Amino acid sequence: MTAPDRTVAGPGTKAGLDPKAGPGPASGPDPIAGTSPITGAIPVADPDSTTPGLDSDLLASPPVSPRRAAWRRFLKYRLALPGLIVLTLVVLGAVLGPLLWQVDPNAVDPAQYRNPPSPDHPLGTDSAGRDVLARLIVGGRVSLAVGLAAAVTATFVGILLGALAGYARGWVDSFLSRVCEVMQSFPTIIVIITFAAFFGPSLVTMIIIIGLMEWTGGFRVTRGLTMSLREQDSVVAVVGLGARNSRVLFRHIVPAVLGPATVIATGMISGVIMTEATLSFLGLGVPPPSSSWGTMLNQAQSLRILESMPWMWLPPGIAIAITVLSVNFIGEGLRNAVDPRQGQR
Amino acid sequence: MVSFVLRRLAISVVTLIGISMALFALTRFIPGDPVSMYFNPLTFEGDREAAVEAVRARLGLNDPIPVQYIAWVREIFNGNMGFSMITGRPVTELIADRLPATIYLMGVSTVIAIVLGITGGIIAALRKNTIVDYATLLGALGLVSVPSFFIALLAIYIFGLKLGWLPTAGINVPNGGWGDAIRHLILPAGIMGISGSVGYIRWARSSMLDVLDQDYMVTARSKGLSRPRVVLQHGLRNALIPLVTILSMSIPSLFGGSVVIEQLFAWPGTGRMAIDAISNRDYPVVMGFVMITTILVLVCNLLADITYALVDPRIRL
Repeated sequence: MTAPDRTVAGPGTKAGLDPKAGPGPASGPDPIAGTSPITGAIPVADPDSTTPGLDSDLLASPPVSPRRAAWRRFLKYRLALPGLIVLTLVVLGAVLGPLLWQVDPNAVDPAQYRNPPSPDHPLGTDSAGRDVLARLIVGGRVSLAVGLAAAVTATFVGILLGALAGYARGWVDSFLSRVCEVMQSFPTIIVIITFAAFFGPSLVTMIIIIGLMEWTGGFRVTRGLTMSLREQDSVVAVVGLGARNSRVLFRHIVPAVLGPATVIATGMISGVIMTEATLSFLGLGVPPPSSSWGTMLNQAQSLRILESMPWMWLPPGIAIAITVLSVNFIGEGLRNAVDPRQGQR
Repeated sequence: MVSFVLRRLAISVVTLIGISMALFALTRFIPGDPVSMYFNPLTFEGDREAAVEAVRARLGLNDPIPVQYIAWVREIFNGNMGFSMITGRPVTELIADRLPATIYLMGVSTVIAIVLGITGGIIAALRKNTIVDYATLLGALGLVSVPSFFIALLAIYIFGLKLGWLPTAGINVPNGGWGDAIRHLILPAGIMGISGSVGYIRWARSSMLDVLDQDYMVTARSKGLSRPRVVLQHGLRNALIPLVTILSMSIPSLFGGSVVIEQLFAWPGTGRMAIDAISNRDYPVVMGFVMITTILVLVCNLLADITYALVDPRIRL
């Protein structure tokens, strides 16, 4: 529970002026909050409160909009805000970085073969003499874009199928639920590896396959919500008014599901970024010449680079870790925000 | 119970058929015609087109696709998964050679994950809302936020290359004995185990917290039993019931993770075989690997379902 802000007293809450304010501060000094003995301001924000001096947590929390309450619950997870800040910086770095660091990430310079960090190349150069910092920035764009695109695709598929299953019920639901179970129990990476083997590595293939494999989270949430939503009076009324199924689904059910689905999608972004990195590391993800953080790490499969050229593989690895960690922090915060019961224990 | 098992079995079989069909369909997309590769246009003398056509007809490649699929399945049932396009060895044989190493790695790392996870989870639960608890939870979140291949790279860099304490490639050296085998196992199984322990930590913690509040725990304490004894005998035993579920939920990451770890540590298992086969475009081996993995995953899930139904009768409904 967030404690209501006790020091903010609304206008007209002065004891004695408020006719409903009971006996006033003299009979009920609040031992907890800083009641000013001079002004006698009762630290209860709600002027309608009849019990000043009692613990006002439940009786008179200040009216908070659901959005604000959610934001507070989000902040309650103390690492959520730092995560948000760090992720913003990472995204800004990837988007605006090329403006600040105007070095061509693809400029090959044999004279600069695997040079350690120097003023000209703060993170050194790679096997083709390319600037590692510039490649890190561009690789971040690819990694983040793949993460976002695949997570959105997967959530979209999950919402569609989940709404369909929850709304249609019957055999459609049983079938989709079985498929969902199977998908959940099957290693995504094996499927992607197989596709990469037959079609060759490709960015679009990877996004589509991750999208088609990881929809189960969105599906389960949407299905459950749809099942309960379709019994709600408002939806029953709309159906009674003769609305078509598609209208009910897309105007009344899908919008209600979007909030929880966002949480699912956020949680998924971190996993997808890691999957992309793993695939690219194995040489099955982002194909050259474009490069992601995972592709940069691929070079570290050479023991020589791993042992004596840490500037080539440490930065992208740290970048992945920082990004995924901050996304996960945000995800924990969002989970608190959407479900108040979370984070209680 | 019997009907429950039969139902799960039926789902598994349908899944297997579906995946095998998808896999078979994928072979249609293989670039190039494998048959014409047999006839080098530079050295072949005579009517090459006719020769290719004759071989296609003999191999049944002109039959309708469903017929080809059934023929393929029949061969798999006879233990024939085709031949490697690189070494020419039967795929079944290749997999049989490689599978024990993979199962060994997965087994050891699962044991490490369970032991680490349950210990960590119980300690976190007993020290709820203290620095120990927060550190454990944060550590778990940190572990799921770093790809295991990067942890592996760091471990190879530190323990293998800089400190030189542990070998970083292979399963053992010839005539190395037990000590050598264990030294080879520490890094790959340790990293897979630590990465895998996250799920167990979270589950053991929340499961233990549930149990600690139960009346029978208070009763046991009030009988004068010591705290460790109550926690281990009364608490843990009840908290462990859903272990099977967590175990079955870890199966996908176990199979996926072993591919990466085997590749990094030059572990002679099926995962490394698959990655090699992909880079060599050795399609029969890739297909064999996917089929075997599918079967193993389905069998593991089926076993988990059945065990869970035995432990918790409510599931059978």
